[in-house]
Amino acid sequence: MHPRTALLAALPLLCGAQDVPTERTSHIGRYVGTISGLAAPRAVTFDREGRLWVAEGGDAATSARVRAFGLTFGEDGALVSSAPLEARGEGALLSPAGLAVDTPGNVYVTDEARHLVLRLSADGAVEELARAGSATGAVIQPAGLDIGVLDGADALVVSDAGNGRVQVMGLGDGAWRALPRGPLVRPVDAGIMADGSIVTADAARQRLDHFGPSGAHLRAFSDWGSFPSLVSTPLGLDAIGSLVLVADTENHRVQAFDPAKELPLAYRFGVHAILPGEGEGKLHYPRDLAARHDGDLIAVPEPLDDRVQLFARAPGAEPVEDTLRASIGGPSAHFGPQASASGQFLVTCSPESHKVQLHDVRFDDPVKIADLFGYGTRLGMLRGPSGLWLDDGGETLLVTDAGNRRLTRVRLEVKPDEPLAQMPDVAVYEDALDFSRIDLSALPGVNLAPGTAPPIIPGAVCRLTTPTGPVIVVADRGSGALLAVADDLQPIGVLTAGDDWRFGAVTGLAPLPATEGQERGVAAAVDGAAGPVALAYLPGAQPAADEPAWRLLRGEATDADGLGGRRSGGIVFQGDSLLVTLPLACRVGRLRLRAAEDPAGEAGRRELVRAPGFGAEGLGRAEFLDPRGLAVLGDGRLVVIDHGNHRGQIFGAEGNFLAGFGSRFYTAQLRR
Amino acid sequence: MAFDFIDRAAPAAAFVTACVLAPACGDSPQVSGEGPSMDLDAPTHSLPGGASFEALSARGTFTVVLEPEGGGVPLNEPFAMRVHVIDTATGEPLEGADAVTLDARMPIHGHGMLRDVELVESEGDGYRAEGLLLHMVGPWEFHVDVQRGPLLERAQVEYELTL
Repeated sequence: MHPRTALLAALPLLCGAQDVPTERTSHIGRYVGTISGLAAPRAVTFDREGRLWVAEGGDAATSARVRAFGLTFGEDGALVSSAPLEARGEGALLSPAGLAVDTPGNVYVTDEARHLVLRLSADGAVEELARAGSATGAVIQPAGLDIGVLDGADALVVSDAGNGRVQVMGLGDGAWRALPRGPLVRPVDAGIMADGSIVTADAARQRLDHFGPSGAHLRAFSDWGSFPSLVSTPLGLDAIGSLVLVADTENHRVQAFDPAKELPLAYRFGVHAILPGEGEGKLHYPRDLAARHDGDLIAVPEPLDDRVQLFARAPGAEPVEDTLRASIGGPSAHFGPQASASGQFLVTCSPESHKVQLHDVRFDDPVKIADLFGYGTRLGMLRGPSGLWLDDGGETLLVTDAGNRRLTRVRLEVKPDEPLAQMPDVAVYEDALDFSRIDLSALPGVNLAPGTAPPIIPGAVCRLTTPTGPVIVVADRGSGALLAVADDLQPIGVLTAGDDWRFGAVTGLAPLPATEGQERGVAAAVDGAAGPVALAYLPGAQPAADEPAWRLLRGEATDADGLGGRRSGGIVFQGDSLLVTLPLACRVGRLRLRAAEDPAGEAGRRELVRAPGFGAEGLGRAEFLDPRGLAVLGDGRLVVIDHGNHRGQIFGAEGNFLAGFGSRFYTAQLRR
Repeated sequence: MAFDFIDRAAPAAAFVTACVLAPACGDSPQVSGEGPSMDLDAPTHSLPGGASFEALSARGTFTVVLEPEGGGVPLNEPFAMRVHVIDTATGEPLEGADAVTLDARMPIHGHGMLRDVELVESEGDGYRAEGLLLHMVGPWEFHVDVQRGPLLERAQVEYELTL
């Protein structure tokens, strides 16, 4: 959106401060209405006509798309109606993350899973403006967008999160340039201020950065935490005059900053929505933020709640605090994205705290015995846990960290034979592999020119047992590759399926169960139009020069639960069942692995056949909201990380509900 | 991984077997059990002067020797430490390190020191850290992390600070 210096006509008069900008005499924060019934809205923007555009991630019934809504307000300023006017991008999007509209009405949207920046025209045309890569004009995991005037010309500002930079595309000439990187690690949104400067939100460093009109880094402000002026994974922002309003996602609030001031916090608003579905001004996980061009209204999407809340201007420089619910406190457990189990132990992680929880599951309910890691950059700290793998009966833990771009190995001094007890000092953080120092193009199997490879952004992880020793497999969110790492953390290469080494957006990994005559392989949950599941097979531990190290198992590219083209989640084998979480459908898909006849006589051929899955959206037993990680406990029980419901659920081998754990407000439904 | 608190004059056998009180330090030392990657044949290093902590890194690549200046670790007062990082294979100072860091944490309490310290390399004499401060009694861990290329490896010393 364009920067705006608009002043509210009425409020300065009310406040008697006509010579003072409106953003100084009034504040945004008066709740005026909710647009509900959306399909996981992830990004918003307003066009010049005041229409609200919403990028939706999709659900069981609809695919990702962008829709425009006309908003009607009553005399008291409350939202009266919101009418969908048009839709664009259906079938072209998988995981939209940023949105902007130019003056002629073209819609710009990023797809962070497919690494695309798209222009959606009114006539239905879809134009790729940028695709995956690290060169100027290419992007990795692009996120927030803004449109404004830079150097006297209309420009599209793109948060190129995976490449750790901000890029600018001239709307007139289509030319790209990258701004100086400064200290950025993972910028997820950028906004153009009235003076042509740019403010970015960095979800890894948990800082806001102010760049001058020339691109020079002026300062970083805020930091990680829950107190006023601190942020926790800020995923969206927009400028109103000299202020920037930030969707402080995991603090469940909006904060307004003046980057030019030494103490930049102007005000904050938003009360944490604690109860399931709670809203009407209370915020759960605000994913983005957009201001209308007059600066009098903002929209805040909350994908877990399928809604956009609207807040208008109110008198006074800052809101009156709700003293009853002003305190935020520590984050409640909001497990995800992965889980893993070995022996009688289970690990989960909570993205808000950047911690990994170790549970003892010897009894019916998991008992947390230790918190591991914490926020930071040192070994033993995380800035975005993205994958977990527990092994060796709970003694070895592998953790991937997208923020620090690292694989960390932890030795856990568990005592399974001793009475259940808290073990706060159970972890010894032994070593780590720093992917930021690895050039993907230098690895065997990667056919990229030196220096052109995208950064490695580690996601899901698992460890395979092979005849020559363990091999760690890491899904690279940057390139789509599956990286093979030896047990001494030396990179081996990438796994290839025929000539292709890009598997797509892999969200989960699981070892393929060994059968007689077959060596261990790996199953991967993959986002993609072909279906959310693919399997790969490992014929040997070391890639051979004259043959692909990996090839696809026949029949593996399977459309689990008929939901191809939607986001996938975790993956695990439970006996001969391959289970996959389908976050948008709120289901667990199931495929069965069985021996298959092979006309060519190839031994050991296996195939997957579809089997009934389970789950639905909701709060009851076997009901989920954005389910993600999966794990199978030593006794065969299945753990489903019910991410959106702040809990986990445990099922028997037949999918029968056994227990739940997590936030008491959300597990209460399971106990009834 | 080995964790130990030793009298630097102690024989190698004592390095892995027991808690040995360093006479120069008034704090009670505590030795953890040996980790699975502990190298029993790892060399120890005789350095002149008072007490030291010594630990083998997780993979056995290097051994760190920590020497609190003044001979002991005070409670809630700044102190300095010498840090030697020895290549286990050669017994010589480790070469090729891109970064060496020192930190101290209390995992049972879920926090570390209230300050960051930087290691300054001393020509031919390892590293020196100033401004360490352990503000509480109880079990602490000293972490020495060495980055070489993309690999990051830790040596860890457990230490009980008492009144």
